[in-house]
Amino acid sequence: MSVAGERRKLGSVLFGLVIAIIVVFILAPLAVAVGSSVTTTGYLAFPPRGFTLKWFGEAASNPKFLEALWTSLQLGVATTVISVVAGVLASYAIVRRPGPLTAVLEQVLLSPILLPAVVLGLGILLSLSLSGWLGTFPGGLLAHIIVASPFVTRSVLAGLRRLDPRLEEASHSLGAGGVRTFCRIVLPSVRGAIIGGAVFAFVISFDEAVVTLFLTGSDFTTLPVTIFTYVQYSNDPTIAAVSTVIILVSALLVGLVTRQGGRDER
Amino acid sequence: MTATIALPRVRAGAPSRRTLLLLLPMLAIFAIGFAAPLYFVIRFSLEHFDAAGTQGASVTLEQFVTIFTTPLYGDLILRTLGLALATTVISAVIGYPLALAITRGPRPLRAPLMALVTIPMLTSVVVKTFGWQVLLSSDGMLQRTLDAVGLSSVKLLNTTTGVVLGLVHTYFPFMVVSLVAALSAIDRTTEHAAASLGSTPGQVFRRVTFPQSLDGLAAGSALTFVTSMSALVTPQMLGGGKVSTIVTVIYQQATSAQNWPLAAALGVVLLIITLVILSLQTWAVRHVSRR
Amino acid sequence: MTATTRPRDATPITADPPSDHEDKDIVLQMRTVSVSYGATRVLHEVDLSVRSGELIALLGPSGSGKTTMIRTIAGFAHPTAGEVLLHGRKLAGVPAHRRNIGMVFQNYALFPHLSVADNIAYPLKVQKKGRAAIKARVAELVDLVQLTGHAAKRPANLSGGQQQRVALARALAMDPELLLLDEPLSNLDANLRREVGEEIRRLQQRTGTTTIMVTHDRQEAFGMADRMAVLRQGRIEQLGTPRTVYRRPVNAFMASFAGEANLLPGTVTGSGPDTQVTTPAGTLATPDQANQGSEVVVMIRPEDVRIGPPAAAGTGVLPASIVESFYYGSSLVVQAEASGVRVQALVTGAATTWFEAGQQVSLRIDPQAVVIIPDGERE
Repeated sequence: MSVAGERRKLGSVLFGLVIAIIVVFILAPLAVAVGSSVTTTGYLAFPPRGFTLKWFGEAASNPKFLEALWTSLQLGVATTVISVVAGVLASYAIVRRPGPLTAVLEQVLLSPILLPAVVLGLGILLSLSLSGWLGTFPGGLLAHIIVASPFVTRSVLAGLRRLDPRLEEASHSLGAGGVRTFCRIVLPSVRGAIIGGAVFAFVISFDEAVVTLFLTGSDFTTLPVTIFTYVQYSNDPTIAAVSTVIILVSALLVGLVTRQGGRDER
Repeated sequence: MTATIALPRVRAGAPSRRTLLLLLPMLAIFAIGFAAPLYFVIRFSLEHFDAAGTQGASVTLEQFVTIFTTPLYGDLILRTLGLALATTVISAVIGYPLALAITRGPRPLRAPLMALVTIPMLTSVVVKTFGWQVLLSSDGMLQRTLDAVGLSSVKLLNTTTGVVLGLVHTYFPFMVVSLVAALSAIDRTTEHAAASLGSTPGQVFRRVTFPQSLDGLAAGSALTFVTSMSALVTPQMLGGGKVSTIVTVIYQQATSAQNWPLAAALGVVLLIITLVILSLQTWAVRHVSRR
Repeated sequence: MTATTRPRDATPITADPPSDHEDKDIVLQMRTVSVSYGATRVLHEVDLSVRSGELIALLGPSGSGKTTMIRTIAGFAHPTAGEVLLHGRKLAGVPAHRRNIGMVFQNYALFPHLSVADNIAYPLKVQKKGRAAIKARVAELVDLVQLTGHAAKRPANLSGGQQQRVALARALAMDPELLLLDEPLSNLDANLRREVGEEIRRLQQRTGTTTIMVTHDRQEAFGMADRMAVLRQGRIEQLGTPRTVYRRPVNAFMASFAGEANLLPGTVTGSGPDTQVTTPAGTLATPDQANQGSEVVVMIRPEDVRIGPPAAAGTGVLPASIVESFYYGSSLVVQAEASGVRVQALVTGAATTWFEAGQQVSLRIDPQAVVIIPDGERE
């Protein structure tokens, strides 16, 4: 092989090595969380000593975790449903009525992704305290919708922008009015974008920690917040078991999203 | 194909104004859940606080005065910015090769690598940071390796190093996603043209690919900076109280100390820094593109 | 109401055969319709009447306003002046979905998530027809457009030509008072166009649907239309049957737009049953009347220029030499020069001889082939 060829081969080997190291970096904490969930020791250890599934059992029978999980699930579903309904309507208005007003509104609706969650959390804490809604489910729901809906809005905006406006005109020329056209033609065509956005919103809500930390109370808490507080005073592998479950659920949902996205591209 | 005049999207069938009503549900939610909270943060930042609690109808800048005159807070702001900067730089350094691999690497690797970057984005930051906590602990693998190699003075948990590791891990996907978007958008034929004109792969990258990716680099950097600067869970869990940022202090002041005005003022400072960074990035992109 | 101006005493040789539609109802009327987008005026005071059962072609280059015109009729654009009437009813304020005007879009706009049958059934479902009635009508239309057996397929699995037929069937399903076709043939392969164009025409005549068709291709317009309107920069340049447009264009632009044309400036040097016009290429006779001494422009279509052996100059006989020729299979285009003036001839048929560059010939032009252009300044 020529010198240039040798050098190029060495270059790509080095490159591959760099990528491999980065991959390990990405997977490390996840692998540790999953791995330490099966240790037989009564404290967190990685690599795990022995193999047992008892910590999963511990987690499943702990009422605090179960309640937090239930709250997280309810919150996730409610957040997703409301975000999707409000988000689809708002996105349609933005795409079909372009102008300075809707351009500004688009930025506003997408801004929670960029702005500091801690400031949002503090603000919601302040407004909920003053109105007496602190530590309640509706208060948490409101916060989660603000955090999660931009993902729905972003996805649906993209989907609607890919839609040929002449399909709607064709529907009108065939006698169908605005509402019927929206339900029969527009919605089915952006189904993929809606589902993708919805899955994202659910996961974001389910994982949400920062804003929620400001809003939890003794009778309202979510799973991530429970883990956060638990870790501060305990070294017990149960937490690892709970984390493992969360990782698996996230991976499953990502798989769903990517497959849906692939189907849309066709 | 005939060229057509750009026709305005005149809505047929539905009266134009009615469509705007569709915005109401989301606007109502944002009014209560976004606009009102922001208003309260700004309002409270102008309040007075003493040990007895606040809630007077006062309007004072004393919180901001405290922040800008007390060296404690000055250090705090600098440390927060420093952490964000370190995170951003490291994210760019490891994110760029990864983005290159995803957009120009061997085909079978592209989707798995992209998934590898996206999955942590959808895993709770609490879970990821918990994993780091175990990994970085004093009898964990990494620390023991360092000790064995003679670097036992380098501590991982409860130090800035550990926090940076955690921040990079959580926020560098934002950088990668921006870079992937920018690199995918580059017209590959410009690279082929450069090669056909005699440039080596290294030169092609330096002169053709990299310059065209700068927009994405700027966007990714701004995003990574802004999000890592606002991180709460990572410094809180990996810092063990020894690594404070504006955000951890806001959290403390808001919850344990109940000093809402101070927390709000710090929040306003954070918000302003965020907006400045984002504006800088927009300005930079516009100016650079006008070459 | 046509916009052609005939020269005085035009002989009936180029007159239209009696129109089938003159006694029928007027379906669509546009009265001094102007349309602007912001500050730009796209249509200027357009007048048009369309009679029942007619197929009118709107022909023009890009930017001429033809697409704007049908979008205005359909209700997707709004006139800034003038009015549009359908069977005498004003359409101002009537939203597109209540106009009962069918439209076939250039890209067909078939609903991708519905099958062929469901696409066609769509307007019927909107009209809340019964399930059995819908099924029967859909089957009828599927057969009409010759897509039997494809009814369950999705649009993505059909060819371009098949998609277009679905779009047509779908628009016909709602029994529209008026049908609008936006460039129906432009997305098809060139060799399919003529066949499909004839098919559409047959369908239109069979169903008797009043139709307005937009196209930029003059062959399409000629082949399919009962009447055609040529648009230029938002105005109707000429409206008439294809025969009238081709044989009696109203100005030099129309003469060149409708087909290849030899346009020769000249002076009227003699009158009588035939007018004599002296042009730089030679003297020509025409039945069109004009005042002695006036400056005119005459048009001769290349296919009316016959090439013969060299001869002396005379009325309608122009000595010329061959410059170049191009063989197109069914025709031979010949460029000749008569007294320094370029004249194009079109020769067809098996008995075509070859012409050498520089060969001396004579060009013979009959009086019927010479047409005085009324608004003769070159545009």
